[in-house]
Amino acid sequence: MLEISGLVSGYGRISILHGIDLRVEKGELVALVGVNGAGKTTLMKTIAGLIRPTAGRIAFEGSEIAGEGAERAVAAGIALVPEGRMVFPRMTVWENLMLGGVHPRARPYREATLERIFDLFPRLAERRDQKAATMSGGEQQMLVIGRGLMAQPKLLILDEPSLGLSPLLVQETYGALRKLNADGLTILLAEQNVKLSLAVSNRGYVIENGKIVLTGASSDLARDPATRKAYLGRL
Amino acid sequence: MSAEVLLQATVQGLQMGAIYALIALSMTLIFSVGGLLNFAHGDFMALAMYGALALYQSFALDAYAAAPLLFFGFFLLGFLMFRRLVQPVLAAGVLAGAQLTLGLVFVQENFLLMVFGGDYLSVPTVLSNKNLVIPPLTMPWPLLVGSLLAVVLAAILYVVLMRTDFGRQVRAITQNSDAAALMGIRIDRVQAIAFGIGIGLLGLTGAIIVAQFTLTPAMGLDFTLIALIVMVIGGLGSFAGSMIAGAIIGVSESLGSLLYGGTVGAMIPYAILVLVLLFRPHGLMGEH
Repeated sequence: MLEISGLVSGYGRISILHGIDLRVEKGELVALVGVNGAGKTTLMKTIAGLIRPTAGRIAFEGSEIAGEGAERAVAAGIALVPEGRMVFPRMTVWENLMLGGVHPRARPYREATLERIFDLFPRLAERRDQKAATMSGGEQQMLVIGRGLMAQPKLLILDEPSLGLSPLLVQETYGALRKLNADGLTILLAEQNVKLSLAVSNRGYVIENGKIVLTGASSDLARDPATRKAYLGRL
Repeated sequence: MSAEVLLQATVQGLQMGAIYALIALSMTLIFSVGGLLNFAHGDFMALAMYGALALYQSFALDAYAAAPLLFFGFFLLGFLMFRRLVQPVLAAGVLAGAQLTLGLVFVQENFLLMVFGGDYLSVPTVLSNKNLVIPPLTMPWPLLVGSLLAVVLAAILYVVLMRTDFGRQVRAITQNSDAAALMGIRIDRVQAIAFGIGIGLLGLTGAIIVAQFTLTPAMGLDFTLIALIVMVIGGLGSFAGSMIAGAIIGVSESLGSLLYGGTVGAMIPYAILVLVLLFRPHGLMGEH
């Protein structure tokens, strides 16, 4: 579904990613793990069209989308749930969700998708008319995931969804992701929380200094001495 | 001083206030989409008033009939201006944008001076020099109609911004443009349309109040200053704040001129601005 090869990207003249190769097949839940600063966010933003890569290819369902901009990515069926939540703070939960489905591709299905999201996160239904800025971090995280789903994505990309959440909320968020994946949604998940993300995913990639250094089935990666030494040991 | 005179001045001030509020709201709209502080704001309205004059002189078209025409003309002007002029300049920074609009002040004033000359002009309309008398009040029809239309237009703008997909997209860009891009919103296009609406509203406002004013090429500056004051006193981006601030400024200006003479009256809005900035720097109803 998503095929990235030789991707070089960064900010201005500074390259953060130095030739990334990564694939996500339809129906998979793929984890991208790495420490802070390894290039996870840059990769996610480049896939979503917020950053224009300097070299390499990003093919989504066979068509090239690298450097085509965020609107093109949404039109193709990619939704990014960004790091740091990035809600529209002075708008209500409902307005945030409506904006998630504002693209012409998603607009006709908004009401039906909204029902599904309220089923998945009943808390959002309760807070429907509350301003996003007044909600807790966990609720905002549910909101941005819901907002991403409103775009009717074929591929949902999440950047550090566990960041700043209590263990209980992390469990809740990951439970929702597992459920979405079981229902057929393809998910690419970037995380610092290696243990957790490898536990829920089918396959994983380990990124270090802008390069993929390890890849394989998540269960193998979790047992791999190199991963353990580099990341798990520190947890 | 009789109570009737005070009442008369208060009503007139409220009516002016509604018009000030509308001008301030279009300024806020333009500011919020791209961060452009439009110092040529009043000059666009002056341009629209002269446009109404030209349409009257050439086609005997009444200013009220010309209002929709001026709206669309100015919408296009604003849309294209954003694409070709404002956007490239804003890329160089907010200060460059402010300098651009200061430049536009001179361009427009001199253009008007060149085409229409420096004399005081007026545009005859169906309502000109007619009054509605409801004792003890005597209200000039142009001001009454202008102020009522201003309230209606402000209400329409409110509904468009708060209740439509387009309005939500405009607010999304204002609150977090990166997140807005992630929603697949075409930021450039929404900004250009919103900018067009802001300038278009000035075209419309100019047409509906032209009968109340005497035209001179430099008249825009007063409106720009009042709009800035109303915008700041009301609190940036607050509709209710702008309406209240417009009323406060309109009434204080009107009563001030009546009680202390024109010069002091004209100073009162600035005095109020200073007081508001001292005690409520975010404006009466500003959010932060």
